[in-house]
Amino acid sequence: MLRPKISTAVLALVSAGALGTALAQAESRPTLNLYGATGLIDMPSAESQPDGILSVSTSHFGPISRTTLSFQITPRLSGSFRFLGIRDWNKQFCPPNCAGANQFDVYYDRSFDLRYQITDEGRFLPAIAVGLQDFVGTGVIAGEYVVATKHVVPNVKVSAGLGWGRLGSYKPIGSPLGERPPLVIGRGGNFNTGQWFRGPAAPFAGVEWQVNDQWTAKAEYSSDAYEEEAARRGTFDRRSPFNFGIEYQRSDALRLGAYYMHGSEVGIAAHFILNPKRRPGGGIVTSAPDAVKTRPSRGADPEAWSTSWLGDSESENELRGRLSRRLANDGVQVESIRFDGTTAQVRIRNLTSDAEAQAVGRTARAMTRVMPAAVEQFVIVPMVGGMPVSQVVLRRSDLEALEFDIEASEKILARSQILSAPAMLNDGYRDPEAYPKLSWSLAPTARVRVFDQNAPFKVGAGLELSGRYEVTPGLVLSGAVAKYLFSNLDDRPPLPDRNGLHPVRSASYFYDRDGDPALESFALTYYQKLSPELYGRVSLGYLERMYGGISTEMLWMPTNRRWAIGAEVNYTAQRSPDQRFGFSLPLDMFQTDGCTPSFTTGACGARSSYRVVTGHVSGYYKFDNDFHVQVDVGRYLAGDVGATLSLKREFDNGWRVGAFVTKTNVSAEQFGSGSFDKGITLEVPIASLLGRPSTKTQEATVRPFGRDGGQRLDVDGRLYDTVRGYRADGLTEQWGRFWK
Amino acid sequence: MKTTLVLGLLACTTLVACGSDSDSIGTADIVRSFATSAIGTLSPADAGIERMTRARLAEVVTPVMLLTVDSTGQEALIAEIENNRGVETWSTVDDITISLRNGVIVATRGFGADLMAASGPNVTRSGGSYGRVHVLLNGEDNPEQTRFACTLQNAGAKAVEVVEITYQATHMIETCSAPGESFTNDYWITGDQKIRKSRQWISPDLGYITIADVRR
Repeated sequence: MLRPKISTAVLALVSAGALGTALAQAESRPTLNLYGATGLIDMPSAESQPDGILSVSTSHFGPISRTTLSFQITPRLSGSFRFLGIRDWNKQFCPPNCAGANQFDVYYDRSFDLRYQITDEGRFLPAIAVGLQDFVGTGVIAGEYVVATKHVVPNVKVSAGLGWGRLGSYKPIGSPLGERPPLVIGRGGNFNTGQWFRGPAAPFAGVEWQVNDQWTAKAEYSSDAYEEEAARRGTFDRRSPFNFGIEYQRSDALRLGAYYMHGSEVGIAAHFILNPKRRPGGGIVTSAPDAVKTRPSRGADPEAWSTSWLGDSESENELRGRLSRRLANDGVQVESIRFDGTTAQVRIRNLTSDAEAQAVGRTARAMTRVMPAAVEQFVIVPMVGGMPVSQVVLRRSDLEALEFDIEASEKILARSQILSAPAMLNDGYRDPEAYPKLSWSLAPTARVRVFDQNAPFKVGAGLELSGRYEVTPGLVLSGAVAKYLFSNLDDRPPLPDRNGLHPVRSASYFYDRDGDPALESFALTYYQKLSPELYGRVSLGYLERMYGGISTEMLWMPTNRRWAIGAEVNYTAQRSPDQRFGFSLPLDMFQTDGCTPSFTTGACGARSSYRVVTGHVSGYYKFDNDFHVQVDVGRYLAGDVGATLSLKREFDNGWRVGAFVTKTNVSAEQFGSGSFDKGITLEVPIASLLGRPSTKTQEATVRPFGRDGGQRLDVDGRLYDTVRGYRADGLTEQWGRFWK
Repeated sequence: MKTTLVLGLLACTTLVACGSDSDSIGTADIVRSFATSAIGTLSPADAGIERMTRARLAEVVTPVMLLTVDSTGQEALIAEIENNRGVETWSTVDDITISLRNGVIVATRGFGADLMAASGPNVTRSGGSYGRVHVLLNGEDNPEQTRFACTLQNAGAKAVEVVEITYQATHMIETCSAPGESFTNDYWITGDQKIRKSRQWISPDLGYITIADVRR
């Protein structure tokens, strides 16, 4: 099947592997290629990264630059999202022909890949994988492949495969599965199913030698002719199908590579590798918790077991004060305490820990040191937004007995109860310092606009002053103001036509340009638990940078279930791009490249204000295997009606990697580039980046095309994500931290 | 007043977050943390670690032991703060604790890569083979048990020095292995069946710590 042109060295190695003369198993590291996918140099391999690995790769050779985010979704399935830039794109055509694709000096595109490893490498059999490159969208770099990889000795592996599409463009061997139909691009964003594995197929192969733990040498025979880039547009000179590279693994988190590409170009690559399952340093560094204090026996110290203090408000309030002081170091705020016979109920707020279980565990430990011996039952109620979600009921004697047990974590969970908290709790003794509570911070902030056709990204960096004033339990006034000290967000990107849709999001350039300083949000939010399983929220004010108004929400979240149902109704008006207090829209934000707006004629859909009612019914379900699905059905900001499907892989420590698609009654034509709204979301708990406690999470949403169809209000503090970590399944995700 | 405000603002602008928020995190922290994980840590500064002396110990009133983290050379004095059914918990002044059952470490807290729980042997006996279980939290905070197969052997009488004083002791060597991980602990036991000094394995990220009983 391999043609004689292939280097004899590669052939020799391939046949050695095929004959099974060396029965090596996978012992080398699976590496990434210039597409940021698991593979050789430009070609894929059949290996997979370890489950959950998230990598950001940037690679450059000749005129071609690629920036890729890849994720090992399951042990066998991986996906990538990529920004591609090709310089000198129009140099052979423009002038004179500067229309269509030739208008860009640098051609930018985005692409999605999926790969599936069908078999693991065995003693004799290779690993086999099948992949789709750029399978949705404009399909400019579309290709499909089947590839096999086998170790011939422990540190040398060989890959060989068959490619279609652009991976079948150099010296094809025919079209085994039929002709490739022409691509119907339209507005992009369609699945090009008709093309997959059709048309000419060409073989590729390569070898990877892991010299030692740090260094790897690679060589490959590429089946990609670079027809458009090299032959047609002359962006570089492709002289040879052979690529060579050397790579250096600086650490688990960084891999660097240098390459000689296609007999004419030098390439470089850097891969940043994040492992959500592993924390730097091996664990969150916090001060040690209180040691559990055991009680003297009743006979030895009857005084300690006295209950004469019960009902004495001074003694009970004194106990609250002592517990409060003891827990201050642990980042736990005691809101109130209450005694029912020999049961002590404590309401707490976790201020610093990324794991609620740790706040609960530390409270329990502190209670063993503070509570009189007669108190046998501890009820700990972690509060969020002034609402009790669950209550953890613990027996003090279990804490005493299990502190150093090998299965302490499992046993304390089995012997405690996590129950739904009632909607109303009797107050007991409240800490007067718990409310009202003001917190503020002044911190660096950045706003990034990714990929606006002019540059891969633009950035504004400055300072954000944010404040949060908790007036009473459940009532929060919060706001943030940002001022940019450095910004190139003012560069005007191309503004494509909106096809009659109001610019509910696509005028973001004007918000970036005019909102400096910007009142990012300023809103009053009220949370209320309505019944043991029903929660409510009302938010009023400047809810987000583009909208202000009122947002109301209800959530039904049964305890001990994996699902929840919510409903949200909002009445909002679009804020002025200067992001002060006004709601009047200036004429210039209706500008597009092909339209000059006018309020009098209504050209470009110009109007001086925009008010809209939006709302959704949402269903949430957490699967056993760490996957989480959310479906929202309702009315979106442009008045369009449709549904959003979001799928996330959620790690117990708070990392979440997901993708979403929204389809509404806005047609693909009207939507514009991309056909429908879709994107990737990433949530990274700060604690797991820094290795020290923090309740904060860094979130990022990347959309290949930011348009106006299928857009939702971006209100802070939606109920589901606020309370779900406090339901039994949320509390027990990081239950190992109870004892830490 | 104005100067203080300006100084405060300057402090905030040097990429460090500030405010009353006890949980404020600066961008610089994140960048530094990622750079460290990508490029690797700088070698720990050796300066500033002062070796313990008897003269300094004489100033300490409470009975103490000396804890040393082998990988960094950091030393700290620890004092007993609690005893739960024979397990003693000892703490440094900055809230790092180790818990000992008959002198064998069964838990640590405050290091980060802590030993959550362990079953340890009685090392004052003559020797033998047994199993040992260590529990660590993985990156997703789930407890993971590692079962080690161990042997304890008597390596004979040795002189062992603990801060300028030499003791005659029996050197016990505990060798443990599990798939992908192994360690060797040393215990120096004096005639009164007390562990005078020991060097014990905690976790792959922390390595060994040494505990020396510096009480007279």
